[in-house]
Amino acid sequence: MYQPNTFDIARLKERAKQFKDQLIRHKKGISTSAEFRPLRLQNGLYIQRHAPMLRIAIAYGMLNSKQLRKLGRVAEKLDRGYGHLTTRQNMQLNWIAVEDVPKALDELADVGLHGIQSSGNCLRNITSDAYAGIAKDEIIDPRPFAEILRQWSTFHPELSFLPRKFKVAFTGTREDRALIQVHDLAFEAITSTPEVSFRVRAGGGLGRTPVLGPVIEESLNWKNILIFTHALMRVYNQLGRRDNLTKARIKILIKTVGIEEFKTLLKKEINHLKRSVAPLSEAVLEKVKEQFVKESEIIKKVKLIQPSTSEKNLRQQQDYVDFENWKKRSVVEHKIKGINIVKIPVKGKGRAPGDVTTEEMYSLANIADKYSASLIRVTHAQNFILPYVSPNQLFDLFEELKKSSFVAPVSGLLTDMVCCPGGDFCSLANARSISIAEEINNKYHTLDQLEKIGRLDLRISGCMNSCGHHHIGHIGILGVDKDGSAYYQLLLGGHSGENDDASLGKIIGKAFAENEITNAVGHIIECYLNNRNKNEEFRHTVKRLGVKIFAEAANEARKN
Amino acid sequence: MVTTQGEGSGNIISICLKNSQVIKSRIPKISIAIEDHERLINSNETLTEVLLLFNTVTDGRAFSIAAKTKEVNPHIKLHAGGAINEELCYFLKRSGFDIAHFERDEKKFFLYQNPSELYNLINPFKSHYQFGNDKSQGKY
Repeated sequence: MYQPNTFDIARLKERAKQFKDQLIRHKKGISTSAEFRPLRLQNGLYIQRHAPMLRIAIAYGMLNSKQLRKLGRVAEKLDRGYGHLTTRQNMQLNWIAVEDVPKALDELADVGLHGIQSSGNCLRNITSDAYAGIAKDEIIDPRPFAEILRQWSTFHPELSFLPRKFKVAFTGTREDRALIQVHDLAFEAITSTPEVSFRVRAGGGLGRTPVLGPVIEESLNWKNILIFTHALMRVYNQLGRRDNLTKARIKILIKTVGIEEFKTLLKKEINHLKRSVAPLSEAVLEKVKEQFVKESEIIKKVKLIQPSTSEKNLRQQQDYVDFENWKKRSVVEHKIKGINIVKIPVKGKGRAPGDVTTEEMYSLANIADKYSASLIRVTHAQNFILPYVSPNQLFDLFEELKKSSFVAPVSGLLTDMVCCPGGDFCSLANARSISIAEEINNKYHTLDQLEKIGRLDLRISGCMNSCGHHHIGHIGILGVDKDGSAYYQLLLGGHSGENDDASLGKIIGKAFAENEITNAVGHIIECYLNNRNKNEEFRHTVKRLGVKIFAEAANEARKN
Repeated sequence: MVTTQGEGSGNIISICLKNSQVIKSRIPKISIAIEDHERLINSNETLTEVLLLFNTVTDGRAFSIAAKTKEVNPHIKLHAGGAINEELCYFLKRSGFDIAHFERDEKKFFLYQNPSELYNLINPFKSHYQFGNDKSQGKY
């Protein structure tokens, strides 16, 4: 991962001080609440339903153990002892006092963490495939390019008051594991020879008007990433709507002017910028790459650890059966032969999806130190992964993860669901989402049930802002307000883009009441189990049969 | 809200963004609304000093306009007025604005009377990631 240097840390410390001063000045009357709002949002500070919330950016999902421990410490000392992993690879603290935020930011700055531009109408935390740099199918490692863009956009004076938020993603593979089709701007590596080039999409997004982002540039040389992004954001800054919050995203602008006209405007701006801005140089890229932990050092560290337990001695024990089940779902092949990726779902009964306690953060930090060269990552699906694990340590790792309840082999299964904080925390939400997640967890809690259903991507959002990404779930649940009560719409047919084209789910009927929705999901699953072909995954059955049969099944849950 | 031309009056505080000081400044005769910004960028007029008016404190168009204006006409003197607030000074300066005009407000006197406080507000960072249109250096 990128290791912040003294320059980076100094900027973060300055930023923490700046926010402290802004808060003091706000209290003295320099800024009104409306004027202070964008400033606090640009530091990740929301005022939510019950308490302020601090969103901490985790740059393209990459963490080290020191950072994870610091997150644990801040959550322990300044919040209520837990953090929430989001669908954009951030961590949120839901109970922090406004007065404690400067202190939190200052502490986080020590380890290269911050809340900079994690919210507000600016370029947000840049995300990537959680397997970036370690994926077997990788064309290039996109992280250095993501880092360059991240640095360039940090405190960018021109682009901090856009019409609306602006989300960017990078991927280094053909397969879309970074949700690139639903980002405002996304870079998909297409080749590394003779030079790295990206296919660029713009105007994707979920929310009220979900759109799969069209390609606006088939082949962009990496050296032009900054000029291209600057030009695009300038066009957006200039022409994006500011009169209607729900129509202010770039996807609306592109739809309004048309993609060809947008490309023309973009090209004009690129030509203008080229007169004063040089392309990126190899020297700049090398300098950024040098700040990443050297892979050779990581491998050396990982391969040195000797296992304490011999698997051969355990073959007769139940532990070994559990271990094999866990391996099947949790261990992924790595780019480097002889190394594994290990998935750690932060899901399950009694846990809001993505919520991790401070004790668990400390424990995982220790585990990362011991088994993964102190490295750990956050995924879009609100989970962790350990990116470098030696195969002969897998059993020892399994035993340690068991102590922290992180061994449920549910990766990719129904209870590995994505869920926003919803009405329990978020002032924007129409309905609670965590309670629905909990009901489904309680209904489907055995591995047999989950394995029988097979791969099923369930995503739950508490409102139209779709932080739970319900549009791209195989089953999506959207909380809505109906005459002051919480109701839930069901969507089918969505897909994130892994192993296949992304697709947007469609609502399948009238909304369900709070006491109906879990059973509705249950009936849909039952319908699938009764009608699937052998080895056919849920989403393929839906595609084959159409949604009508599933809508009829779901209707059996209606009480009126 | 500063919107009209004229001598800097007692109701207006003008801040030179380059040296972070309160100054006496004439408000330019030419004031331009954001919607008319093409005049700044494409015009054959020799504009040497203009006031660019912000519609709201969160309307970021003027920052891009300022940046682009300085790219085509680096010698023009850009004044910021309208719905701006002192906390925007960092963005104003680095986008290319030279002077910012605010309505006088006694709640803010502590800022105007304290040069180091004002300096820190306008210059919170010793170094930058990106080059600014105020000729400040950066990594990119």
